[in-house]
Amino acid sequence: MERTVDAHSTHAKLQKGDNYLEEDRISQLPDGILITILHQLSFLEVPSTCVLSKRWKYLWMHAGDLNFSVPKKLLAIRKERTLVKVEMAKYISWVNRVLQLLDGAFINEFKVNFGLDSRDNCDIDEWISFAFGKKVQRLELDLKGAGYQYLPSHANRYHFPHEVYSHIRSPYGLPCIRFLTHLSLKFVTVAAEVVEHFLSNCPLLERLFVHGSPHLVNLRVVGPTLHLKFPEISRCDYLASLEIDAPNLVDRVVQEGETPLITKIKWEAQKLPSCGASEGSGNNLLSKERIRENIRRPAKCLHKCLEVVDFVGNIDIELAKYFIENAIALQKIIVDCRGPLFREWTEFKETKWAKESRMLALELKRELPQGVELVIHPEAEGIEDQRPQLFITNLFGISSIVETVDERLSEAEALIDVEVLAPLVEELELLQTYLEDCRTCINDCAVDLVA
Amino acid sequence: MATTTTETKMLTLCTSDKQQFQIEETIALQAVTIRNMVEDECASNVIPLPNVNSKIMIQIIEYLKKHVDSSVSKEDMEKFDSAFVEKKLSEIFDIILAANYLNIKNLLDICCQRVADVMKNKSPEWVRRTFNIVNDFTAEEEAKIRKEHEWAFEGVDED
Repeated sequence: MERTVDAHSTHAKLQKGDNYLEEDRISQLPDGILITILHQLSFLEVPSTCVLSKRWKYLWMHAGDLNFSVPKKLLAIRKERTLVKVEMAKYISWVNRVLQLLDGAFINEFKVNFGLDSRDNCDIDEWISFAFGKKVQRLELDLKGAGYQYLPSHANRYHFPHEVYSHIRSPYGLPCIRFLTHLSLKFVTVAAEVVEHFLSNCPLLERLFVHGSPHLVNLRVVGPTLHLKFPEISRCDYLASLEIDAPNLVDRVVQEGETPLITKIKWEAQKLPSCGASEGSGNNLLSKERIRENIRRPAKCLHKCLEVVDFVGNIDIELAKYFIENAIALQKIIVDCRGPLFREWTEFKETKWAKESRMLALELKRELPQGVELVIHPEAEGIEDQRPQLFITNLFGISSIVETVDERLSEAEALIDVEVLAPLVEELELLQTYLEDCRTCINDCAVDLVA
Repeated sequence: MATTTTETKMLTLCTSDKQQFQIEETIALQAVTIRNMVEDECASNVIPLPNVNSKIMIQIIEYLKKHVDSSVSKEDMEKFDSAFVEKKLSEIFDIILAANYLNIKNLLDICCQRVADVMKNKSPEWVRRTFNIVNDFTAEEEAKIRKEHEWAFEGVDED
């Protein structure tokens, strides 16, 4: 044993030159400093330090941020789909094991980023209970994985657990969520009631992010004591009304009527087919219409506090102009051509739509009034996407079906291959049958009526 | 007397090897430990720092002098910081201990970051060799721990 250490030391001496240490200085540092060092490593690397020596065995457990993000894995799964089942099980047991070992009273951050859905209910329920039990400050669940099949359909989407909701409403559980400063739920089905409960009972909550929850219909974020600074609600396709008014979002302006006092609006627009006549394939447009209606409802209201409007996907010129006209504090319009499904760690390929969006944005730039800035992401034009494009129009607005097809379609655009297309085609066929059925049904009714 | 307002107040720091350093008070007060001593008035003209030697003190003063200057842009400060930590690891450890004692948070942070950068994406074997950490686990114990943390060992660089 000792001999190997010696051999290694000599090796290190030769290899490292100046950096060679005569003695083990690092292990002599106080625990507090070693934990600071561990904090600088990514969470995935931290547990590997437990094998260094007995001195290090339990130190990693104090590195209070639990960030279970594994971008390398997600990338690998995206390339090799057969890995999914195995990796999913591994991921779950990894998280479970780490949670078993941890035993501090608090955690700062709990972040899960993997394609999981309602089939993994029990485990995720446990994780959320664990996080609240440890008085978590930042809770992030992003259950969209890599590849199209990890975009869980509405039915399969993980539901925010009822038991946890009852618990955090009880006098025993209520104090557990008081420390929450950041709550982010992506591809988690959560009802407005739950979100509102968090808002009214987490005095420190500053960031709220709800993405892709089909159960969010009418959300009211209103209250004089709200700390909330950055609300972001996106891709909640059934959202009918959204009212946001929290004093910290704004410079204490006295409210008039129902003016929404939102400082930042983020729009996630589905890519539009280039043919201008079509109304678009997704129901995203529909929900955008709804929001548009909502914004207009208090007649001639001025948005006193709106500063940033963010269009993800394509820019809607009419809406943009509406904001330029009515948002007197507007400072910035952001157009992100990469679309809502773009992931940071993949290479951006410019599609026809992205190009069009950029052109529209540039056009708008020429008409901008002073004091308003327009930012386009990415800055330079990307590599042109040479792959074939798919167009599906006129899906009769049957929203639930359209939604799934639509989401898969945009995934399919991102990576055209047979495996992706097959189920899509299948779904379209199903849809066609369904429509056939509808038509027969209507005909039957008509016949009955006549009779 | 008329010039006292513009006159800068000086402090004398005395290191473990009995070297004395005269520096402006504003520079020295960035170290919370020194500030507390001055505020509590428990320090006379000479502040003893028995845990810091003169070689390290020179470097710490260099750091503090730069950081007291509010005209330096954020970018330049970052450049300075990253150049500052380009030192031998043994020196970094000395600075870490001194910064910890003097309670200079930023300095402690950049030095810890420097150590973490060395460890980043490295296998435990590599880390042990570089820092001369003696593995006191038996082979069985080590294998058991590795199995428990299988995911943590993927994605490290090959030696």
